[in-house]
Amino acid sequence: MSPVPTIAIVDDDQAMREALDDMVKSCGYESRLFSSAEEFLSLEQRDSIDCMLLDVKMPGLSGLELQAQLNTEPPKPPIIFMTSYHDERTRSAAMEGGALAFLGKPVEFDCLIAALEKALGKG
Amino acid sequence: MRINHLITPAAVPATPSHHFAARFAAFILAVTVFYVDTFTSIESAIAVLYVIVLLLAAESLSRKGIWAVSFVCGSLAIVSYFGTHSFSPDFPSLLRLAVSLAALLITCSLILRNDRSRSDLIASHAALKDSERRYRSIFEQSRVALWERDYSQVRSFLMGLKATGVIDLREYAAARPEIISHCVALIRTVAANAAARDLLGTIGEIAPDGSMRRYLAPNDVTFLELMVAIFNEENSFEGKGNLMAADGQTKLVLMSMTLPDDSSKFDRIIVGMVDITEGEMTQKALLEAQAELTRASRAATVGALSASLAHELNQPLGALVVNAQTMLRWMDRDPPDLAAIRRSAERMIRDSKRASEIIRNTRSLLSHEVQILERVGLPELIAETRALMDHDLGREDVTVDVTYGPGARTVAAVRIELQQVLINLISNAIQVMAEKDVPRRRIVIETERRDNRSTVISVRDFGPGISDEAMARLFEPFFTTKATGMGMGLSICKSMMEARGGDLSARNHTDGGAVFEITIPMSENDD
Repeated sequence: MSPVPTIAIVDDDQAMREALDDMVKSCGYESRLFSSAEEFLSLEQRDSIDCMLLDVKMPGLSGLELQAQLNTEPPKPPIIFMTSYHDERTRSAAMEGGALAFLGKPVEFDCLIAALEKALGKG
Repeated sequence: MRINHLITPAAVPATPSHHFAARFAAFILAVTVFYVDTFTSIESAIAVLYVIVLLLAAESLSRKGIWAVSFVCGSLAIVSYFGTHSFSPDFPSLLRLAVSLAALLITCSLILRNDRSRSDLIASHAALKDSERRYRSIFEQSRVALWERDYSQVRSFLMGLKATGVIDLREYAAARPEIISHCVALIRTVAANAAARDLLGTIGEIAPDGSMRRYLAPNDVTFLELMVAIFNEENSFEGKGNLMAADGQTKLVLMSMTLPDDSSKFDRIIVGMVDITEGEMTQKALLEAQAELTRASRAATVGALSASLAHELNQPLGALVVNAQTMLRWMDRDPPDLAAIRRSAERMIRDSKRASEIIRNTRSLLSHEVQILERVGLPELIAETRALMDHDLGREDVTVDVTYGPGARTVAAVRIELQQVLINLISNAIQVMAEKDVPRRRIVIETERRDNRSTVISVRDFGPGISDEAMARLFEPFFTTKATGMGMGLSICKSMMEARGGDLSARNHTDGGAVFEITIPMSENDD
């Protein structure tokens, strides 16, 4: 694990990516931005990622499908889901797939920070 | 339909033996008269008795036969005369012969004339019978329910009222409703056809007293209208009415009858009825389905719209929140990271702009979806809307009164939008009056031309009115006073009207109840 943790942000919305990027930086972490699940999968050094902030609904592969794929092809960083569609079925599917947290948008900032710290083993 | 065409025998048939006896008696009498006339010397006009021969024979003879018998009798008289007086013709005997012959001739012509008029009578009687039979056959076999009814007592009762100075029967009956059932009891049913019996079930059979009372559903205004038609001596009557069938079902029928000019003919009036219950029910079901569809599609539109709005707005709003929180974190640093704060603020501005852009697009989508302004006739629109809401109005027992102000009958508007707004306002009015248990549930719709610039349609209810608190937020999205309301109705209605340059506003009426006013800007050629 590198001294400064790196957080991957996977979201198809640019404004959201930028906002999360800035937030992660304000916490003192590094960030990598991905506009789709496919883009994240093509990343070669996946083990350099310490945690993922993952949107559920995206064009192409969805967040849940990405998690399923990572489960079969490790390494898989801890995943924090963030979605506008916080229905119970999506939530339990995500949690059963091994997600660390499932947060609704607009995101509760403190919950997000807490989830991040938990993922990085600081909580 | 088959009409049996039977020829009735013209008269009571004479039996052959009867014929034979008459002819034989005639023959014997003829021989006797001839004998007496020829071989005795009685000096009188014996030959006149040939008339009796002729009368006896005529009964069983054709016209030609009567001529022949007359000729034979005349010849016999002449033969007798010349046999006895051939050589000494004197004036008195010649006169007697002449009298006899004249009597024969006159009798013969009378018999022939009588025969002719009798056969004419028989023919017309047969035609009459035939016509009656055909009428019966049409009456009985017609698929239209037909009754023959005796209204003569009703008529004389009503004419009696008229004679006592009653002018307006409706008014009179309103004061004395018992006269209606009195009149119903005065009707006698003479006959009913198969279709009529089918229509009403077993009670279609005529009651022993011929009374009609059981066939009419109680409080039926149609019967009063029929009484009025008789009272005013109109020529015909047509109306829709309710009948109670044997199984207790109320049937809606279209009834029609011709009222005769001649008062003596009121004892047999043909009443035709067609069962329109099913048609009416179908139409009612159709209207209800339409209203349901309008409501459903309205709800679906609102639902779909808010779902897509929610999703679209969630992205920039989500980003905004994260940016704002992050900005706070930059500010909390010591020293605060001003460059980062500026960056966050700029992003927040950008995200906010994006959010309002989305809202603006949605709005213009709403108002430009159907852009065609059309000439909308308000009486037609209001009547159609009422028909759509008939079920709701009927269920809650709400009456609707409409008045059209001068020059406020057509507007330029998007018909479907205007109708949606009207439906919204009317259904709100119905709900508010039903919830608050208003005793006299009434909606007053008025149209009015204002300042030559706009047409206003106002919808007034007689509910408790709008509270001050509600008044302030009435048109805000998601504001509702209803347990199950979404609070989008009035807000959407107002935006729709505003998008066309009009308005929707609300106030309380000075005499109680709420008034909603739809303002529609006037175009060049409104009238």
